[in-house]
Amino acid sequence: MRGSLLFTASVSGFIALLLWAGLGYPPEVQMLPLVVGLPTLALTIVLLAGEFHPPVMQWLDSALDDLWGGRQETPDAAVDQSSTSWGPVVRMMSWAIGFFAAVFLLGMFVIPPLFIVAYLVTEARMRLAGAFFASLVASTCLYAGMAFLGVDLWTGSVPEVAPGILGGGIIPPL
Amino acid sequence: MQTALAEAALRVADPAAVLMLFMGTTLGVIFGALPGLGTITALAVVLPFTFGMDPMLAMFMYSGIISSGTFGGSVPAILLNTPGTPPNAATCLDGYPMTRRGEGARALAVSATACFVGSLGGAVILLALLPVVKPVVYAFGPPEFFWLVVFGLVTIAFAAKGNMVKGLVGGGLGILLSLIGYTEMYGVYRYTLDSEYLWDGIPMVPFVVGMLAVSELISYSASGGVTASAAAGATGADWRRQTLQGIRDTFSRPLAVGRATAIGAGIGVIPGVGAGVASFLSYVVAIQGSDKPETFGSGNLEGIIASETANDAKDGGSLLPTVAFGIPGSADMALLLGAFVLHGLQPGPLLLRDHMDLVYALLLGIVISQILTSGLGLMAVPWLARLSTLPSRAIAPFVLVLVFVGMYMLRTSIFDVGLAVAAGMFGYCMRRYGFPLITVVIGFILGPLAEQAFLQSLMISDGRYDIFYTQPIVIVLMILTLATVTLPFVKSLRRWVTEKGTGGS
Amino acid sequence: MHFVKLLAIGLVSGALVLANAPETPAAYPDKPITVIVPFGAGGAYGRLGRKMGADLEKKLGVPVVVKNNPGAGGRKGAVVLFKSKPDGYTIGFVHFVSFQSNEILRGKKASIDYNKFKIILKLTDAKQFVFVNKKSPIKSLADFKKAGRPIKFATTGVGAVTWVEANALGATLGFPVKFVTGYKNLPKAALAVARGDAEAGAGGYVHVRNVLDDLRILAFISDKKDPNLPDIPTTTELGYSQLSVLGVPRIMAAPPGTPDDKLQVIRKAMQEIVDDAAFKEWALKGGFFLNPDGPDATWKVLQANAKIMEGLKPLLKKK
Repeated sequence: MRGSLLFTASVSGFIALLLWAGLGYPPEVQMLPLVVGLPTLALTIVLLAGEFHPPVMQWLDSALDDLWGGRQETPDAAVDQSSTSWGPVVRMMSWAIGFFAAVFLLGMFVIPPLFIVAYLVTEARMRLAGAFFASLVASTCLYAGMAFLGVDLWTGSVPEVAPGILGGGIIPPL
Repeated sequence: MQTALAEAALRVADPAAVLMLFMGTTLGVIFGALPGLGTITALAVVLPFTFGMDPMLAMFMYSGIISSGTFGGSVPAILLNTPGTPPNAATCLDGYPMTRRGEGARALAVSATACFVGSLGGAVILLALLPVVKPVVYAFGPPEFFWLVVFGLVTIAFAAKGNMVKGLVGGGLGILLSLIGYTEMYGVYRYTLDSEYLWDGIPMVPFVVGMLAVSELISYSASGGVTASAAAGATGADWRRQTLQGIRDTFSRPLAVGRATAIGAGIGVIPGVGAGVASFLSYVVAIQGSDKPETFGSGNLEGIIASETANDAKDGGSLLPTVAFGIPGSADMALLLGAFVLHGLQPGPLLLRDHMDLVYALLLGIVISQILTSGLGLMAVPWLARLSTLPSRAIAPFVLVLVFVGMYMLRTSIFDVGLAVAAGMFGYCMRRYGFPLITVVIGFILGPLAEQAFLQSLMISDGRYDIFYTQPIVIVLMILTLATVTLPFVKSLRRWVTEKGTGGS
Repeated sequence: MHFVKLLAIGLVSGALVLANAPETPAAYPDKPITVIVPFGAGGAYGRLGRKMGADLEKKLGVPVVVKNNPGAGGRKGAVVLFKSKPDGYTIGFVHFVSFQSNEILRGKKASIDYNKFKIILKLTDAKQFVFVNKKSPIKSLADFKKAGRPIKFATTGVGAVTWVEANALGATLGFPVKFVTGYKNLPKAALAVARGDAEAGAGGYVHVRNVLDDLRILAFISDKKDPNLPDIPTTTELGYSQLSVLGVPRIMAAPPGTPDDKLQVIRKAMQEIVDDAAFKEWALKGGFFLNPDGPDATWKVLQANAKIMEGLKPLLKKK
């Protein structure tokens, strides 16, 4: 409950920020942000109100559906998210962020094979030998494919260690 | 003309041509299926190889890639809720619910068959329209574009059903995010915070892939288990039965297939409308034409037919202005145009006069490659569908590695990879709190097109708004769009009236 | 493929080093050269880079790898080139015009000092025709002013080359200019004029080729004629030679600090390629307007271009 309140509030704040930041633009450039942003902002405020009075929100959604062509059973979302606690989610997000940080520094030749092994062993509870084999097969396919196609992969932003494999990647301007 | 066709047909039988077609098809399917990579990347990658190759052989390679990417992209859309290419997003809406129900093989078979019919139909329509390409291309200017895109945007409301407020917020947010970047039209940096990265805006493919694929990855690996628990005990025979069922499903709906083909090819012919519009628009029309509109979005296979058929028919359509006019119908066609020039060919009326054999080669290649794709695809369906019964935690690291490599390949920017990860985490939060992600994606893809067409129209009319409702085509498109929005209201109204009537008696 | 090439060249050069290691200093070039193209593979820069790469490979005897690094209107690839090792093994196209219009017209300073690039050779100029819709009463450049009303040009965007050209035309000939902007590329802008979205436009031969029936071409913004349409007068012939510098010079450059002797080797090879008859024919077919020039002349053209943009600055303030 609190999470959804926080999230809706941040979305609402973000939209307000965009609207405010757009105030100085020429009218044509400002038009679509206003035309889309204002109603969206209003709807997020409705959502925020609904956070405090959930029945209002339910009534509104069903009323809107009734008004617009009849009700529909909500397609069940991918996996019922609310039943998962945040613990495993944060864990998975950390994997993704950590993987990105490692790739950013050390490149796409060194990190992915290690990542696959580490993930399979800790998360999918595979045995080390199996994980190692799976990683080897996948990496071989990947690098063979890339070499065949002549695609250069990111080598990492650390100073050049092995040309074309590890280090020396030029970070584009941000 | 007949001799050109015969010449092209003769060349198809050449072993080298068959090899090229096969390579192109394989590459197209693989690139299409990998999230983020698509036809454009595949074409860009092979372009250097075809440099110096016999143009006819190169055409076979290109056509293999062009026609097979769509089916490739629908496979992860159906099995993992992760569109392989952005236009496959509409396929997720009904494909993934079918997989969750344990009908993954059936959904894949529908997609393979729909792609085949769409591709064939697109090629036929291309040939039929070849003589009238000029008036068709000339007829569509910015005001016509505007209404077409608005029609596509209506999908947001359909995708948001059952959760209207959050869905509309998602659509609005998608449009707002798409507006970030340098606006070439007015020379203004909008919300770029002085960042060179944001100059080009938030890149579409990493954003869409992050929102849909990475967020899905987070959600399924966090909760564990398998995608289709209902199909846990399914045997090979079960999957094969489903596959046959899927083929029958498609062929028993000639009306739906024909409609989607016409829409896809039609959108394709109009240069610059964008790949996303065809599948979304076809989806809306399918809902409108259905007698059970409420089942869309929860696993109605007509949704897959609408999206995939249109998606594939679009290729034939967009080839038309490209070869006949030298004006690319879509981004991948722009690359194909470059490939033509690379081979010393000048697309346009002269190409049709002097090199019709090459055009036929391209068309034949597309059709043959599609037969290859759909045929082999259908054979592979029973195995592919088993993916949905694998433990999701074992799939996650491989998908993540592919996403990373794919996002980097696209523009060789390591920050695109970071953006995909960030969009994935944001997308997960949206998912968790009940915002339909697909509305964000639709808004993001179509928002900028709508703005551009709107502002261009006003520049043409010197600021007068009557440009949006005075030309014949514009009026037709406007009425169609407004009717689509208001029809559900009318239905509700009628239901109320009858309910009241029965209540009173 | 790059991989395989690297491996092969590694083995070969390794063998060479072993054979006669200490005496001779390594001749340049002795390993693969990378050419950075700051735009996508199918575009004009991409095609030119690809062809130049293939011909350089034959000429220099080492593999030449062409890499597309698109983004930010050509500036992303330029930054990567700027930061590459100045050892003569990384060269590339620099889209200087984008840096200039960005800095002068939009007031955005680039993160790199693009004036420090070492220019190898200007290969081609993308020069534009000025045209109007065939139904327009305007029959010559002079008619623009006689029309006595603002003329609407179709263009890709504010600050783009055709935008600069239309404004420069307006300022020189003395007529007000309006725009329909936002066309994805020049063929689409030409189509828009043919269709009647706007009255006038600018574009090269390849951009207008397919809609020629519905256009009237008034002039070629250049001092030399376009061999594809030799009947069209140039702006120099018409007495507006100050306009003739406008266009996009496609310039091959190297990172700052690249030794001059190495640049000279590449420059000589490129000059020979450009002078080759087969290359000339390829360029003509692909719509490239070959106009090779050394660094000094090229810098001069860029400065003249910048000056015209400076002159247009007030136009942007007014809006």
